[in-house]
Amino acid sequence: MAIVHGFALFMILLGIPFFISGTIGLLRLPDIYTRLHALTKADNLGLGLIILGLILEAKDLATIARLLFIWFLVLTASSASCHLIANTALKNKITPWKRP
Amino acid sequence: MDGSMARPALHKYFGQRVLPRLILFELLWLVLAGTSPQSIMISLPVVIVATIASLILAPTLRYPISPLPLIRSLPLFLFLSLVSGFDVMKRVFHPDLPIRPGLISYHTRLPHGPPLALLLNCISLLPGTISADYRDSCILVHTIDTEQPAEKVIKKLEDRIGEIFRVDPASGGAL
Repeated sequence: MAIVHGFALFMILLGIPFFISGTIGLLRLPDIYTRLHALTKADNLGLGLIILGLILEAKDLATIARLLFIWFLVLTASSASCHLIANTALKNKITPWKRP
Repeated sequence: MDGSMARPALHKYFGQRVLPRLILFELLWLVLAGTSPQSIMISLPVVIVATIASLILAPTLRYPISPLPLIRSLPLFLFLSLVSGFDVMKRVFHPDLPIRPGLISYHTRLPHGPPLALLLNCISLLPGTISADYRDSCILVHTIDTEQPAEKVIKKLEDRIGEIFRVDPASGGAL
């Protein structure tokens, strides 16, 4: 049991740096499109790892189903809203940043 | 007379389109929010609004999904999601910020509707790409590194999605 707890803790701790890199990306990257890259991808992986850690600690199947649902819904919502934001930015003629 | 003619059609519409969605959304709510009476009371209007929205946005689900290719593709989706998270981390923590962003266009032969929607959504989960626009079967993709072979990964994904929806992207799909 101690191994499972340790592995769960490891997964949750592993997820945190991805959330941080999403935020670092938001601050460092030059335009709306590149920031979308950082926020969607890094946070998705961070959430995935934290959910995995929490599943290992879950007491019953209902909790596991709930956690998986949350992950799936966030994944779907984040990729759909990523597309919508990029699409709206293009329609408003925001030119993507290019390396000079 | 008119009323009695329309009734069977209405029953069919309710039974085949409305009822399954109502049940699905209510189940989703119960799994997420639990089964306390207050929660169920709040769920009723939300589920009805969600059902109406889904009937407007996706009136029919014409594409049957084959479960086996879907299950076989899950490891690929998860792996790509993992790679793209690491890719972002590597770039944003690097002192030089190694990005060469740009727009590329990708020609897809997947038919409109669920297969295309799934591809557009999945592109945003791939390493270094987000789908920005779609016009005349061309997807405009924003890539964080124009020197990365994005087309190859998108092609692979397109083939998998074709298998899931039983359409052949190479032959022009179900059209």
